[in-house]
Amino acid sequence: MGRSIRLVVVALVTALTVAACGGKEEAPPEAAAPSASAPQVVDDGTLVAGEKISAPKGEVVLTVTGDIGTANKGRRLEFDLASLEQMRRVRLEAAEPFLKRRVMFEGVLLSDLLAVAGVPDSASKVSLTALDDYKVEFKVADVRSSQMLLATKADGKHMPVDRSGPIRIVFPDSSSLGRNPDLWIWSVSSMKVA
Amino acid sequence: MPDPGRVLRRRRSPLVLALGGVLVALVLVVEVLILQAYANVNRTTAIFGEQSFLNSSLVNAQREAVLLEDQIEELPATGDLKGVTIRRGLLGNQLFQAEGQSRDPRVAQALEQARRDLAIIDRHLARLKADPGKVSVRAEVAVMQPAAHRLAVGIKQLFDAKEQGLFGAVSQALDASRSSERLLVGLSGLVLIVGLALAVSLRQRVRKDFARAYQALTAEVEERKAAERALRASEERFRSLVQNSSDVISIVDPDGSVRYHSESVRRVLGYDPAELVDADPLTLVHPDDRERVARFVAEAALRPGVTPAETWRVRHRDGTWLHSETVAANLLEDPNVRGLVLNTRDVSDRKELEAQLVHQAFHDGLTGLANRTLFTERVEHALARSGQGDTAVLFIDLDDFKHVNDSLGHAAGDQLLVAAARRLQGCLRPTDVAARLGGDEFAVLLERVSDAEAAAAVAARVLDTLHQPFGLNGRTIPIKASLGVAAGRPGADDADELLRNADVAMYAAKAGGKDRYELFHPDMHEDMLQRLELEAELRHVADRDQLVLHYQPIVELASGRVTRVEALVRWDHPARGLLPPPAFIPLAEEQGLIGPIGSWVLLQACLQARRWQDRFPEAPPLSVHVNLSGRQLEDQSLVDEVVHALEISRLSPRHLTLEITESVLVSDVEAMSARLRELKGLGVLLAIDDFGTGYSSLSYLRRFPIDMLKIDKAFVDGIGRGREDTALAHAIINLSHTMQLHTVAEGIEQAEQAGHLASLGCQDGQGYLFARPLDADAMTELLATSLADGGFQLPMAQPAGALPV
Repeated sequence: MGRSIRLVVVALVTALTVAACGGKEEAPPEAAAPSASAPQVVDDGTLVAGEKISAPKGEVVLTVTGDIGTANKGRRLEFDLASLEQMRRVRLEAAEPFLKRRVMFEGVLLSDLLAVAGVPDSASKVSLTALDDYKVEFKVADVRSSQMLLATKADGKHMPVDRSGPIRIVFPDSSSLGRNPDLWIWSVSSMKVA
Repeated sequence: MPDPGRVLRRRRSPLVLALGGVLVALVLVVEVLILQAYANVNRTTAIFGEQSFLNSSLVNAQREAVLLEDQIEELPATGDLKGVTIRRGLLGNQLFQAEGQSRDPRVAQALEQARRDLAIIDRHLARLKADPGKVSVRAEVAVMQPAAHRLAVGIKQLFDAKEQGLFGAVSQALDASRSSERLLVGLSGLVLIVGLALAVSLRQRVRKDFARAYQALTAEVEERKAAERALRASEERFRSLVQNSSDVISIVDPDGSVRYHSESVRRVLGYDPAELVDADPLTLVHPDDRERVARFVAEAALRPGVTPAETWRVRHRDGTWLHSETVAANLLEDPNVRGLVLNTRDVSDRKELEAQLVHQAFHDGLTGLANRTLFTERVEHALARSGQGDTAVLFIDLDDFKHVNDSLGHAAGDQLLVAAARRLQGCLRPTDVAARLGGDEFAVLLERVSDAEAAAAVAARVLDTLHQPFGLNGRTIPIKASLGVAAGRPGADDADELLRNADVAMYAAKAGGKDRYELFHPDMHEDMLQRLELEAELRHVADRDQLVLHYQPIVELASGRVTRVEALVRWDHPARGLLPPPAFIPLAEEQGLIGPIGSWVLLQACLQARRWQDRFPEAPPLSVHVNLSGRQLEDQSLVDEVVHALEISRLSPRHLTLEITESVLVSDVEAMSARLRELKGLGVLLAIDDFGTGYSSLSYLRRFPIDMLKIDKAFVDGIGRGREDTALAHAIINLSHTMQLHTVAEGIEQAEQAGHLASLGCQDGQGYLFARPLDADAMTELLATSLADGGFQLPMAQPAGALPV
């Protein structure tokens, strides 16, 4: 008798446990496949912090304003693709949340850009605005720690506007900020440091 | 008593099993349903996420499309070609993203349409960019604007459709999940109910099991208690047994020291139990037994088990010695004892009894002399011993003891035996052994007697000692005995043989007239054998017609006429011829065979007398004399027999004379007197036979109703030879006359004697002078020839004075 009671109880507990675990284990199907990939330096570049940045000759793709230490057009600092790509370039494979596939991006670290722009340590916020006026705000500390990338290329090609270009923010797989697709701002046009 | 563990391990209940099965099935179903519901929710969420993603893309695309349409419409005014280009890029990006979000063909179709419209816009934008001055902005716009409008509308329609679909799917999924939830709730309720039922039934079962187990446990506890009580009771019983036992129970260590004595030691040995503990118990044991006791204890300690009983002597506190019997049980291995348990009892009484029994087994209870067993053993012992001189045995048998026993009673007989035994022992040496072999038989063992003569001297002494008068019941009786003496050589003769020889010699003494001893000689065996043979034959003599009566006439001396005849019995022995009464009558008396012989004689004599009376009616009736032995007179049936004989023969009593001897009258005067009066009462005559030879006492002539005296031949023989004898005969005849008794003289052989007797006044005579005893025929013939003048006139018996020829 005792044995059959125990059997029933064990069966119950097992079933309930399986059910409970099932709830947890059934992870969202979109969970990014973990990748050890981290930003890898492609070219150390010539444009480093403290260097004077000449006004861009090509089409301006990024205008930096606010609390910056250097400017090349009035109080603004403007970049074309060429001048951006003079900085240290890194490569990063990441899971693109909208296309839902892995893409090999290339670009500059946003933290490098802040350094090049001479953003002081006292700065706390960075606001990014896209061509369609979409806005995203980061803490400077997050920018420095998360290795977020200002990509200029996807899969080795520059990106047109209708492919989220010409520049966009991407996050390494390891970044917790990157889990939120809303932070993946594309067609970035300006940045304001405060 | 059920085992509590087995009570709990019991068969399964079908109800509980069924409930359990249902519960398990329900839980599994619920599990499956939960998983399914969860999968549904996930799928719904996924669909929702996907749709919402698409929708947000479509919303954005819709916005960009409207903005693009606006900017294109404004283009002629603003000339912002770059802004339109950027807007168109943003729109393109949104559509590109939306394209990857859905596999819906409607979406693909709408996007395809959008791409075609974008291509139109791109183509015209390119013409404007390439040559802004040559082409009409308005004209280009007029082409681009409807495309952009179519784009915006198409995207809006798609969005509306998708949004509606999304809500429909969501509500459907929700409906499905709601119904599955209802099912789940229902099933969960069922699980709850079944579980509850299971729980209740389990609880009942557990309760029942518990109750049963409790019951079993209680029963077991009770049982143990009972067992403990029983054990305690048994212990108390045993303790009480040990303490109250009449035996002394002791526990002794293997070294012999006493650890415990039971209470009974106080009663048996007179000691306090505590006094003896730790003392050496051997000090109480008789010194001669100590070594044996020590060995007994040592041996008992060697091996487990119970020893055979051993007896020894133990001193009582008062100094007396007891015989104790002890059994030892070796309980050294028993952890409760670790010692020898000795069980000792006082067997003094038994020992005494045993000794008594041994004495009884070898001694005669009445006289205290050795019995036959011991005597035989002693004789054997004496014969086996290589001693100097002969070993002799005296065999003693009291004469006429039966007579004493019968007439004076057994108590008197016993007194006589005791006195005889005492006298016997008084005249023996200490080394001689006297024994009573049974009845009135005694024996004496004489060791180291020089020869048979010496033994005979002892026999003579024994006879003398016995002869001394012995007072019994106020009378003085001499003890008489017959002795046989037999001598044997040590190592040569056998005890039984020696005793037998002495016995034979004793018989010879008896046969030789009693009150004497005989030395054994081998011829006696032959005599003895003949005697025994005769004895055997005598038993049947009356039946076998071997008895014969002879008749001797008794003559009236004055007339010479035969007036009476004496019947004399003869044994016509087939081998030995005619035997006279002394050859077999004493033997018959001794063997108790006289009865039938006497009856036969009485009857035959009467019949014959009657026959003669009938034959010679002219002569005076002939009387017949019949001899009675002492034994016959003692027999109460004698009177009846006489009556019977008279009746059968029709003989007149006065023609029957019974002759008795003087010695018969001595034994029991009262009884004999009564018996004789009875006989006399019948009318028969009584005669004293052999008068003058026995213990003649004239007083009995007065006391007994005697009619006739028969003067013994001894007196008759003396008549005419000397004066004294003649005077004696004369005196007897005179006495008879005085007492008015008839006289008969016996054994007359000469005519002078007859004449003399007749002159003395003796009436009748009997003897060879007249006739020898004749058989019936010869007697008849004699009577017939002598019949003359109305009487039987014998020719030789002339009247007094007339001498035979």
